[in-house]
Amino acid sequence: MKIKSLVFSIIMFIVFFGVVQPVYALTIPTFPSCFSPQGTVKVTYSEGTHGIAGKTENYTGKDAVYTLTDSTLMQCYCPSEGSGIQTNWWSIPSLSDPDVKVLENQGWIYIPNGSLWGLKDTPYVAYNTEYECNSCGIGGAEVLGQGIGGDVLGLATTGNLPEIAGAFIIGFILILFGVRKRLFTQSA
Amino acid sequence: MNRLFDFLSLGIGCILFLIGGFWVWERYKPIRVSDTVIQKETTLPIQITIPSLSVRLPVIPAKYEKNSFQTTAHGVSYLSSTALPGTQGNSIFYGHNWPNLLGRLSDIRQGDEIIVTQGNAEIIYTVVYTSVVAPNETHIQNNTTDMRLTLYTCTGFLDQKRFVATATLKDTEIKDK
Repeated sequence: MKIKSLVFSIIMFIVFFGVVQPVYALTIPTFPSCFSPQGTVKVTYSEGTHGIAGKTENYTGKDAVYTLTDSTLMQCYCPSEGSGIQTNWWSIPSLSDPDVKVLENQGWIYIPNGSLWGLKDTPYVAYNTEYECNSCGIGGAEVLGQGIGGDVLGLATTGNLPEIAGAFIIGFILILFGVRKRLFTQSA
Repeated sequence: MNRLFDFLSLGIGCILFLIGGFWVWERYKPIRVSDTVIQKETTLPIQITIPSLSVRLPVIPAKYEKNSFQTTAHGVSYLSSTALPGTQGNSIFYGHNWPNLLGRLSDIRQGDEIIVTQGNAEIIYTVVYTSVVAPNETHIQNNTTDMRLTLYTCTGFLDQKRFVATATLKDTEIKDK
């Protein structure tokens, strides 16, 4: 009987502490993609040097931050070439150490004070992912900001009158040039 | 040698005239909407209608690629990375100002309807205002918290400006198959 109880106790111990995973009261919010950002524009920069959470180097290019909810923001950084970086910012004022550990294990970066990043004076966690901002779509940083690709690129070109005028004018000049030379040669 | 240059000038001149003539023809050739009907199962917009201008055109998804916007001679471009019509955000449409495309867009008035067909749904927008902007005034493409449609085309001397019609969602009608 004692042996049975011992075995049962051991099994229960293993089940309880070995199999059952700890449950944390954390529901990670969903974030839209920088490829099609949502929310309201908090700040946009068409160029300049920007910081990315969890990374020590500086990044040059376009950057935009969108407020999604009271506790979430989305940062869309887009360099002139290559992939952009989307950073999901989540403000959690009452974050316990185990919660931080759980989130860090999932790739989140703990930011003790958001004010250093121009955000609220509360702890944040940030999560970086890459996204394509230069290959297709209008992509990220300037989608909702000052414009796509900055002032140089501007809006789509939806007219071709200059090309038509150019083709006819240059064509006319070339034909005139050829005909005039032929006429001049013949008369001489 | 001189004769060669003469012939070259004549030849290139004629080719440029032909190219120019093709571009002019392209502006006036009729656009067929029927081709888009077969794509009815798609979730993307397939047709745009402006009843007040008697305009009904196919919608072609477009991307921003290699530092330029894809454009089409066969309809109106829908920037597929922007909000889907009928959802929150700014759905961007643009097209050439050719007579067979959006050449009459500048005649659109506040209160006019713009209808986007998307699958079996007709998403109806009402024009709230129009404006003429410079090509670098890209703020018209900003995303919004409302359900908005922005439709623009070239205007002004040598197409140097953009005429923009901004519309907000009025209604969505689902049609039976």
